[in-house]
Amino acid sequence: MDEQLDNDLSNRIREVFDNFDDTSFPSADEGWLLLRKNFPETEKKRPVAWLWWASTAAALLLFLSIGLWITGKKQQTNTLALKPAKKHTEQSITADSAKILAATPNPVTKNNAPDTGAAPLAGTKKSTIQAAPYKPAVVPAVPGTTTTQAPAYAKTNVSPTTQVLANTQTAPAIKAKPATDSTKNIIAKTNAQQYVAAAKTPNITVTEPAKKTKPVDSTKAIMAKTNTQQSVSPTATKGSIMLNQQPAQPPKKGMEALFAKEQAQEPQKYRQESVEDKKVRFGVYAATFFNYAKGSSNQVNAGAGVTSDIKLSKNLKLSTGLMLAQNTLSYSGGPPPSSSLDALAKTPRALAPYDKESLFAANSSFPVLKNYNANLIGLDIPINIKYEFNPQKTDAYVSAGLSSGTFINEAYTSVYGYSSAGSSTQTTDDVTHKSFNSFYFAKTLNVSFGIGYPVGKGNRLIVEPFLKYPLDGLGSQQIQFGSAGLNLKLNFTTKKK
Amino acid sequence: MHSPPRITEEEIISQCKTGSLKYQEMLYKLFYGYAMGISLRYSLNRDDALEAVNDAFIKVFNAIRSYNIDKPFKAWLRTIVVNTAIDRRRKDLKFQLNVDLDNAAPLSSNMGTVDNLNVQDILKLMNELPAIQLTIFNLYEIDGYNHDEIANMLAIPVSSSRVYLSRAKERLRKMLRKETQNHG
Repeated sequence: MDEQLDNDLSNRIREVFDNFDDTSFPSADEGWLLLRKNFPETEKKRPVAWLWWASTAAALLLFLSIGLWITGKKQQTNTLALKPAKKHTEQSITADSAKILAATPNPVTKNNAPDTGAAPLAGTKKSTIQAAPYKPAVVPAVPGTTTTQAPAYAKTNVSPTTQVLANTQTAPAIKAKPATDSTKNIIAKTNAQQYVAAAKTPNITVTEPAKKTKPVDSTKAIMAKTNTQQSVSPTATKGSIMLNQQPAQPPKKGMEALFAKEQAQEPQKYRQESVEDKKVRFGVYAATFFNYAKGSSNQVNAGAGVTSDIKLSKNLKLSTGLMLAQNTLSYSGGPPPSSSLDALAKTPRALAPYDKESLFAANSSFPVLKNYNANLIGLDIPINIKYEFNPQKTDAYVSAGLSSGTFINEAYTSVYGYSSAGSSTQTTDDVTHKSFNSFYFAKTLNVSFGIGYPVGKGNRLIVEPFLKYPLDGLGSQQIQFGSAGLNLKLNFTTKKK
Repeated sequence: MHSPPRITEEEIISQCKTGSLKYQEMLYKLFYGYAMGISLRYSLNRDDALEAVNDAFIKVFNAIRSYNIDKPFKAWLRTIVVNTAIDRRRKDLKFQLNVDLDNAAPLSSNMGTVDNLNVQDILKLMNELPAIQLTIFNLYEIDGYNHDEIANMLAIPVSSSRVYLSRAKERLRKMLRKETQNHG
């Protein structure tokens, strides 16, 4: 009994609702109008999404640039920190040529007074004393002097056979001893004796061998420094003073040599830079622009792409790439003049297929084209010639060329208005979609100028206002439209292998 | 008199796949009544039912490209409408509304047997049921889902689904008998 009732009820419910047609409920027309309040939004959101993605890309680009810039800056700081150390070494190297300083008159041998000329380079008096035995190491370098100096070494009890070794051995020995004036005097005297003996010989040019010897490394340089001090002692003789006064200028020469070295290195730097200039530069960019066309309201859009600059000459570059961008146009009151829809829109036949529908045949009157929107997602391939004003100093340039390309998606929306019988005016949309309909060749003229800023090592951030002027109609509707806006580019330098 | 050419359901659906708003409108109007009939059984009132229908159609338009045209469209639409309507009432399904039968709204005066029930009568009957019972009754008795599917859809145990269904039936029976006695 219960089951029968349940079955009857279920069957009745199914019967009533499967063929639901109750006039007291909202009609399909009302329902559709209500749905249209929400449904088209999904399509309208697209440009917003594009803008969102473009702005995100631009922000990422900016953050990347800042990051690279900061990294580059840190690297520079490190270089600066290292530079003084380098200079210090170089100083010691130049000082080694301190052979020269050997010539500086030094009264140390007589009164142990610190020599003002030698002090800055040689350091302390103590080092003068310690270094004293090193002198002979340099002296024998002069051909023919060895024999004359041999007696001097004999006096200092240093084996003349291994002069260098002897020097190294004696030096610590002296270091270990407390540096008293008396010992200094003794040593100085000993040295003096050596040099007196040396001075008496015809080959008294002590510094000459030093001049000839080139600094090999910093250790040698330091040794040479000490030698400078050593050479102070022998200056007791007038002859030696006279002779040593000649090389009194070598410190200057050392500096000059340093400058000369630097100058010699500079061309190498330029050479490196010029090598870098020859490389192909790649970049990425994000563009924000507005589309303009006759009869259309300006629409803000965005795009992004990749670019490559190929150097043609010192100032000229061939710039090409690929750009994906959205172009939207909105015509109120009718389609664009150049559009193929223009002719159709003027006749009711434009809606002929629409009128075939029984749903509209009864209540449609003469339709009026209220609005016409074009939404084109284009793939643009620009080929531009770029003229850089001064590639070595600035990144300012002007660029001109032509664009070719195609459209990934073309959507044309015609909004028609018609008045239903006894009710208010209604609108309906007719959307046409097309993809890769045609390829347009050199139909857009590009003009732009850019200013770049170095970001990191070899990278540049370029701000580039641009204008795209239409030379012919684009897309399936042959609409002439252009764009103007701003590119934000990040150019990378890649090395050719 | 030249009659306009008839457009088939398949043609409308295939045109909807291209995103044509004109054909979407046709599809909507063609299946509006069918969708509304389903939605009304699950909704509280006509406004809710209409909103559920529109939400369902938006889902249909967004997903129609993935729809296999070889399969019956009505079945696909029914599934979407049922799910959309249930989703809209999901929070109501948590409440166990116990309505006193004495306070139930009277049915139409000409209701003698089940066969005489009209849309309004059935909706009145259904609205006397708690949301969970109404949903399970609709799903099982009218739309042909089994208890496993219902339990899965509503995230309840299968046994609960059975219990709620029997309670819904019992309640409907009582209401019908009460009305029959009143009119008898």
